[in-house]
Amino acid sequence: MMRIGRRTALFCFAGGLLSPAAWNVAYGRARDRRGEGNNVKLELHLPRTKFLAGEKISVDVRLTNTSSAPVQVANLDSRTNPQPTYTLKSSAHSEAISFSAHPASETNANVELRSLAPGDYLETGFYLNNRTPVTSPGKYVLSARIEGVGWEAAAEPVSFTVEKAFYQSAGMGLDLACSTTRKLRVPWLSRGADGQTLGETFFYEKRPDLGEINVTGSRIIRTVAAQATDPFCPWTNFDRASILPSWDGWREASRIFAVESSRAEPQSFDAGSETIRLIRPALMLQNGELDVFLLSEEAGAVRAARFVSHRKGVAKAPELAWSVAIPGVVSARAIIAPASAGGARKLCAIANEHGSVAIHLLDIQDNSAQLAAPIQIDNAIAVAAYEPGLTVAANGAVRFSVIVRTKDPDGRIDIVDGIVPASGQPNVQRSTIAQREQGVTAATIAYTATETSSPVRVWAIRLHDGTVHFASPNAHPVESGSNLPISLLRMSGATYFLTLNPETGPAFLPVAH
Amino acid sequence: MDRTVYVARTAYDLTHVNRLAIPQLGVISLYLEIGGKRSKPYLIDTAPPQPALPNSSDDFHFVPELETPKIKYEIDDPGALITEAKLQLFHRGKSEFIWEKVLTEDEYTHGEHELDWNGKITRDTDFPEELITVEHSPYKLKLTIKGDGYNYSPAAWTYLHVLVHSLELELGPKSCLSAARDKQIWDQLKGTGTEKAAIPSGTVKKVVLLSNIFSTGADKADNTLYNEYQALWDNGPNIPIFANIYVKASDDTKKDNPKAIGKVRLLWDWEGIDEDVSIHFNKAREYIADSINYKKDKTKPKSDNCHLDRGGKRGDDSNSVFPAQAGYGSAPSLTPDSFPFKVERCSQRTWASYSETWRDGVLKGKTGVIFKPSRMAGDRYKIAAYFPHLRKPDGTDDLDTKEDKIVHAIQVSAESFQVWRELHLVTYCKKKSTIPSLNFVTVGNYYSKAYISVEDKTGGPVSPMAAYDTNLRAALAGSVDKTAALAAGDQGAITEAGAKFRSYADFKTEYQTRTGLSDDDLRDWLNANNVANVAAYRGYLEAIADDAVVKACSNYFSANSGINIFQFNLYWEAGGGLESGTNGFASTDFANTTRNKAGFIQCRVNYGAGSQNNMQQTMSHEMGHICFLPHAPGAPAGGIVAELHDQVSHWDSCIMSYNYVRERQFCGLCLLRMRGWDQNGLNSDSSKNKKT
Repeated sequence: MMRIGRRTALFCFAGGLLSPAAWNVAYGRARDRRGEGNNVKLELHLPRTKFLAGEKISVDVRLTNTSSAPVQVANLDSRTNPQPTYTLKSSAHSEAISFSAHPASETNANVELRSLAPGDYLETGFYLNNRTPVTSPGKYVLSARIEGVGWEAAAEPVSFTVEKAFYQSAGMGLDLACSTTRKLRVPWLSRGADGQTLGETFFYEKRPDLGEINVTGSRIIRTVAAQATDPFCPWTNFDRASILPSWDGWREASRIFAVESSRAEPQSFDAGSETIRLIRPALMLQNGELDVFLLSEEAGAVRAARFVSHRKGVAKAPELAWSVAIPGVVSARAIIAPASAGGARKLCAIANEHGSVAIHLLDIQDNSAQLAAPIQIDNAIAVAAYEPGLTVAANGAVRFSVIVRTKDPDGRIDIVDGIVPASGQPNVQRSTIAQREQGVTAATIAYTATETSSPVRVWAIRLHDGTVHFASPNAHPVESGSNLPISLLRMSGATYFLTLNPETGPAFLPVAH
Repeated sequence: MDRTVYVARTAYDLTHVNRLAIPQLGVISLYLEIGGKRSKPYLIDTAPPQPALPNSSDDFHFVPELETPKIKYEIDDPGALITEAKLQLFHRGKSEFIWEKVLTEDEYTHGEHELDWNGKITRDTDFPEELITVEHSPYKLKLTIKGDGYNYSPAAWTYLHVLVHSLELELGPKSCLSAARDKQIWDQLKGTGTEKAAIPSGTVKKVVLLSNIFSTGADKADNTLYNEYQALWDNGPNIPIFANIYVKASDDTKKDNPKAIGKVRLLWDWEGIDEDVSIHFNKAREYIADSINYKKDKTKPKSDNCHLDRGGKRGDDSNSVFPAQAGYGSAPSLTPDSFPFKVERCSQRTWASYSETWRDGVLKGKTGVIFKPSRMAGDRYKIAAYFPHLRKPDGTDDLDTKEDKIVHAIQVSAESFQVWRELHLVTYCKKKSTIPSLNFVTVGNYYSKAYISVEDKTGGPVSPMAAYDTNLRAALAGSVDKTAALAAGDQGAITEAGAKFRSYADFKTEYQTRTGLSDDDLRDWLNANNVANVAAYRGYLEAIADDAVVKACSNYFSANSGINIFQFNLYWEAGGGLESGTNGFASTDFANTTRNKAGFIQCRVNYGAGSQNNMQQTMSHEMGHICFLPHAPGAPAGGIVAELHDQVSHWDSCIMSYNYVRERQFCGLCLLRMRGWDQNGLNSDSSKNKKT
């Protein structure tokens, strides 16, 4: 590669180092070339023409040498290259916004050039939102132009629309304790004029040590009914990119829906009651089967609805995989062990039984669930909005944590932590996390998702005023802004709280690291 | 006194007179003389006055053993009446003589006499070396006579001294240290010179605290650096500083005779040397100047060293720079790993301490302290030892005051010691030798502002990285999609980047070939896994690199504590001209990362002329993360902890930011944290750190 001070050269032309006649010739040749149909072609590509506010709008850019001779071009993806220059016009703003490919503070005049052979292309891709705010609903037109020594090119403008979004609810999917755990998925529902949209935002924890988690993309999965709620994405214990399908789901009243790809038809399972609640998370196995766990307080039972991929022509309808009666059950949590630990699936169900709290651990099999002897917690009341935490270590030991309220009038909030070894007696400890229960409307517990051998347990509680408080003493309370179930994510170093802004969508807020 | 005398009567018819003359005797003078200098003689009041002795004074002094003054005295005894004469030596505070010489008949005959005397006396516990010493100086030499006659001057005396000429400091023996880390500092201070040369005089001597303490994850905002550094170096290193005490000869020159010192005390004091903040750029200078000014006028001694409230020792009298030592009795040899001298804190001057000399043994005539500066890098000390001009009979003195300055004392000082931290670079792997090398000196200059010495222990860059292709591919083994993304060929040879990937189009083709997916299924897969466009593919490749390149580099870690550097020209590149925008990456996911071993990936060479960010700054930034610094505000970045950086309104281009609008340097708060300060007391608003 060589370096050419391209900008310097252009400046020299303009500065009169060449005679006026020569300047005219040079510029004229460039103009002529453009007029001829040019020797380079610049193209912009958007994945869609409609986006929801808050969505990441990806722009792919390609520069092709359409001539029969090599041309000297700068690498489009180099952060030192200030080109192309983009212009964004919008119905929301009277003034067009221009921006360069990379911030001026990172680019330099002596950008490195490379020879682009005839027919070859250079490409790059970026998220428009990262360069300029694109939040206002309206119509937009993006154009781009680029110039080199003796040539210039302008891309055909691309148009798109940003529609107002009203993000309603969100879930969280992750690949537990494997190489892709830091790639997170947040399915969401957004209400629009035409009903609701099920979409998914992708996150990547770029710097676990810094608590840096970034949005890396988003997609629209499909349109769903107006009454859709509870979007979910299953958890796995493997890199889900290694298989198809890729499940996402939601519920509509008593029906549980799941869809394995954007183009597939959703499958649904009738849970039989609108009062049934989804137990987090749904789990997906390496064979593509999806288990969605359900809790029925009415029936005093937990159940699993199983969805099977239709990709390979197996048109099997979702079915009830198993059901276990647990009288008084009010909350539950499911988990899958790391593949290296055998991949066992567990469920921890919390029930109010005979004046105390009973913690039930279920060992989930393919078509059944084995219920172990309950662990009784005295002077405790289980609350439906208090979600337990659960993890399985490599040695098969199950760790659970349950938040309960004591029975006394000014009840405390206690946390019960237990370890159930693969063989042997459970070890249970109890401690107080809040002296007064009053005002606690929801609670959740999370264990480290990146590994399970030495898990860190974190908890969060939401108060009546909407603030969410966290276990870590150096974590500041945050405004949850909604009544969604609290979603807490504990990674290798940082703890994140999933927030959902109605206008801009989901985000992970680092609360302690 | 009754005496019987016989006198003849005058005869009856005569008139002559027979007279009775009373026989008399006395001492006329006693003094010492050497080199023309004399001690001043004294007689009892009733003795006849004597003419003043030329060149005599009350401060007669000499060096016992090395000098031999003459004891001169004159006896008036024409009648040879003296029956007994003796010289006796006294010291203050004690009525009994400490030495006596009974003169022989020849030595007390009428007339002038002189004896040689080099200060040797009778051995006892106070004088184990059989010499008069500084400890009990001044001395009184007395000559007493007895005889049959009128003893009109039965005694004479004179005063003599053993005086301290000067003090000299040296590094105490290594054997009196017990901790290996302190012995390392001893080696570093001494270097190849002498113990005396190890003491600074008008220069800054670095006390370098090796502290390869590194972030292992999400510990950059929680004061882990402070806690770990405290755990490692506690209240500071132990440095033995000894004082040699020299005796003033009769001609006022310096003589070394440790036998003549006895047991005396020195007071050890310290003072701060104002920090030279001019080394910093303007904004850091302001921040640091405010912060080091904290309670400066309220602590003694005056100093801008790190205050107790910030984790330092200034203002902390319970945590002395010269800690108390029990010491052990004088002995012919040193007890290994044990400090020999007794040291106790002053009662008034609570930041200072007294130490005692040994009377005899291998360290006779010496004393010393353990100098224990704080661990805070940048703290600077001038230490001094004082021997009082005025010593009370019990050995105490008037130096133990709260006054800023000590007067009336012989002193010696060492100016100055300054605490530094030291980090080691232990591995420097370059993917290819053609990649421009990092300038560690330039990087070191950024860290020197925090009084951190970055030492290159790498032995120079190593390239290529052996078996890199094997290591990289092993990191991706089992993943169809990730291995499909990786370009064919030897990754150690085909690129200077950490990894070379296929173009987006080629990747899709390769993946489809490997999996046999239909076009529709491929599209589903791309959509479901956020690889549906070039922008997403870039992020996909970045995540692969975060996993695989880091794992591959883990194979090249050094076994030694320190920082491992892996340099590429681009983190990754891909067909179609795609390339990572990552400049560097201080991952804590290297398999070998520990509290004492860290690594970072440097993946950009200099941008070229006009760039606001060069690779030395990137290296400094990544090392900053390794040194527990989070991102700074100023430009979009994740993991920003604003309260751990200078206020944006004051300085928005801390090197820990991504703000490349101007040359970045460490902000004042980063510098202080890396110096070891407790972040809990520091505010990003520097004006709040200044408290007078």
